[in-house]
Amino acid sequence: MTTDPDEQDLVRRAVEGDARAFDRLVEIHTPRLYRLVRRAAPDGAEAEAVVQEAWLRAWKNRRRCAPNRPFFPWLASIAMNVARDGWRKRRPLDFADLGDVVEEIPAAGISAEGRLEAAEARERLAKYVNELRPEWRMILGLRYDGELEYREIAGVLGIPLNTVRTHLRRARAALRARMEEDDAGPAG
Amino acid sequence: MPDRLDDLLHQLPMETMSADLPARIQLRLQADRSMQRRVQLGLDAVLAVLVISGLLALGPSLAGAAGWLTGGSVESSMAWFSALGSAPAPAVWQTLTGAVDWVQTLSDGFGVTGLLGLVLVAVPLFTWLRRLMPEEVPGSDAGVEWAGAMIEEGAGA
Repeated sequence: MTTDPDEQDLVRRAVEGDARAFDRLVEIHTPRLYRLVRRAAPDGAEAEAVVQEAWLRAWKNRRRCAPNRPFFPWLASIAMNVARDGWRKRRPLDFADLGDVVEEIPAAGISAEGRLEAAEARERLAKYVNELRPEWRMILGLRYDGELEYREIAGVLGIPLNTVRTHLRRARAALRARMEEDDAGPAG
Repeated sequence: MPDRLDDLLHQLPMETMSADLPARIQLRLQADRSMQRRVQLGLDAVLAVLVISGLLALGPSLAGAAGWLTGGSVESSMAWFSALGSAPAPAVWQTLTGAVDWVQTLSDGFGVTGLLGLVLVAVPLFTWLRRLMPEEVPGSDAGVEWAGAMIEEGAGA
């Protein structure tokens, strides 16, 4: 992910305490931040609360942001910390259990998807994503909604790169399995 | 390797956020900033009162110390230098004894009130000085752990 010079300037000014520059960053990044948080949050209200709290923490800790690096992964790491703080209270997230083990899961074919209309397939997939473990949803959100690279996700969540790969592989395998199962079983 | 599932995951439907979410965040930030300013102002007022109280407590002690400090003159300095040239050892000994006497006089003169005054002046000054210094070195904290991970992992995503 490259750093846009205009954004770099905005971030630099925001880090120095320029409230207008920071407010501009809020306008630019809130939709994307919301998308990735919403993917893991149980509902829209909680996602909005997490996003708000993340921006407040970002403002308070703005001096810790490095203006020469992409801003969004830093912001995402704050949002994920806010989200984890909340979700940990309900059920501990389980990133550590996989360690560094990289498991080879065979990529199952998704021939069933070929027969579905794209929109319908996406709707079903979104439903299945919502049924995944929160930590998998979080990683999927960072990868597909936040459009972060693997190493950025590893940094944001503070877990090894191989663990990110394994989580993504397992999440995708679970989704493929659900899609196939759905396709094989009776309609509905 | 991108596949159809990847493509679908990139295009997953998502409920849109409230249109006014960025504006609400900006309002909260504004409220937070003005609250911070009020707290800062209150803290500065308290610190200013502490400095004034400290100076009042230090006053008598400082007056005594100033009298002692202004006791020297160009003539006495010249005499000290000529004594140092002719008989260095006694001159140095006399200076050391004088310094010890000065510290003794100062600490006797200061007393508890003077020390309290010093603390009352020093604490706010230290607090203001600290505020002028950068809080953190950018990019060195947990908030940007991702940067460290990026460096460690290189470009191998």
